[in-house]
Amino acid sequence: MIKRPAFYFDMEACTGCKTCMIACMDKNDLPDGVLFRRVTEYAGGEWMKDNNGAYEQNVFAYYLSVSCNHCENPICVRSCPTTAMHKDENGIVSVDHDKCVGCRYCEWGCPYSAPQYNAKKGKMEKCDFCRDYLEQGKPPACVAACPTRALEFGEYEDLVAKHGASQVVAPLPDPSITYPNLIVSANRNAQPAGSHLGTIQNPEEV
Amino acid sequence: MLFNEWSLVIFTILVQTAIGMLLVSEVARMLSPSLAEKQFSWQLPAISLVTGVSLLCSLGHLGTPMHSVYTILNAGSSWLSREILATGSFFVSVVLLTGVRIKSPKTQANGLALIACLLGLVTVFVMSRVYMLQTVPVWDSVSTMLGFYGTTLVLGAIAGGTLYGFQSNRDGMLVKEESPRIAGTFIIAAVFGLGLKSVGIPLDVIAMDASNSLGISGINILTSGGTFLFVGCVVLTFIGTAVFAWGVSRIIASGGMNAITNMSLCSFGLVLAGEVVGRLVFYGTYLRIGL
Repeated sequence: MIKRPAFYFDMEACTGCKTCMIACMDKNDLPDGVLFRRVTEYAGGEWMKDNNGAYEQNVFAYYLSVSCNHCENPICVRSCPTTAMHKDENGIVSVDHDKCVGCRYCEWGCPYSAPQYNAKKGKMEKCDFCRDYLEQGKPPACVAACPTRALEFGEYEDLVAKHGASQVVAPLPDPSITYPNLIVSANRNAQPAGSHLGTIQNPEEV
Repeated sequence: MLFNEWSLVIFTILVQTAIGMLLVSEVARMLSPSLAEKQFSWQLPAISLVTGVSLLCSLGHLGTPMHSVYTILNAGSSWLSREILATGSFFVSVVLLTGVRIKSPKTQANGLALIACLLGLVTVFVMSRVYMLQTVPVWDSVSTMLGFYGTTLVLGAIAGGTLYGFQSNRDGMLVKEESPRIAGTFIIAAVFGLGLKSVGIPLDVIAMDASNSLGISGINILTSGGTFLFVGCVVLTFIGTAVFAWGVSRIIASGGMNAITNMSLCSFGLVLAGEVVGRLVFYGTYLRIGL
């Protein structure tokens, strides 16, 4: 097993097909409204007047595929009153259903929408990095399904060595809040973190 | 959107009311020990009852209430765990205090009362911190704490004052020398609480200006349907407190409790309605940064 599991996401390669999202739903048999991985469409821009008085635009759009980032300092683990949300020896953040009270406090705080409430079970659920697949030597369902190879997984240090340090782009939150194990390679359209030039365009979907 | 968290609205308001009633009635008892035994004997059972009901209501927020026994396991880092511990401790201390004073009505039990009051203050602090999440800028403001302490004093004073009025009238206990002092305590507490809430309003609006990645801010939510509620809660709370202060001030003028109990009850209804609406707006403006 990996000691510090991390996801790598290449924005340049992602076409927004959402196969990763569907593969995750299928693998985890998720009901409507519960998503462990979400592909967010982030877009914005405006018309601007140039020096000649003509108008030009700086419209941009890009995708972000994000699940739980199994953060180094997970806010969900810190805030969970029952200790049901925990980070195990393999670095995977998961929910112990024998303890979870379904208070949704982890959901309130997580800036990645990772913990999801399953109303039928009355408990929280989330990405567990396809722990069972990893134990069988297989990649997580989302990574295996990605047709453009925009997603990778592995040891955090190995991924950083291979792809460089993560670039923080909007609408991802300040990484110092939770220290996510997510490495992002930005594309040319990416807006810097904290930018309010764009908005999420598919809120109903994610 | 503004009506998702009914159980938490009821829980937080009832606990804060109970704590406020305890704080104000204990100060009033201290100022008028000769009246304490007979005219404050309803307060503690009422406080215990309100706290117990609020704890039961809090279970309504849980997906699996049977696991609530585990909610105190993470007091080391979870504010929610601390809130449950603090509220539970407050409840136990108030029940103990009630038991001691019912068993021996002449007992002051000042030490236990002081502990219960301190636990109450700690509970409101911890309750505020539960919502002051770094990732929820609308809540992560000192106005959350000012609002909660304000509610504690306004609702606690008016609820306690109304109960005191009813009990005094029922027992025909009109003590001209001491009633004004007690009435003054209730008024001062209510007005001070209202002051805390008023200071919090502009800070609240500043905090609500932060927008999330959908481009939505707390102000957007208010202007798209919550403005009436936001203004309504402020108006109701101010009018209710004013009615209470005016009504109770008549005690000071006349030296008796006559004819003000119904007015106190009306003011309690107005302020309670204002607080419920205000708390619905508070939960309804939840906006998280990130995805």
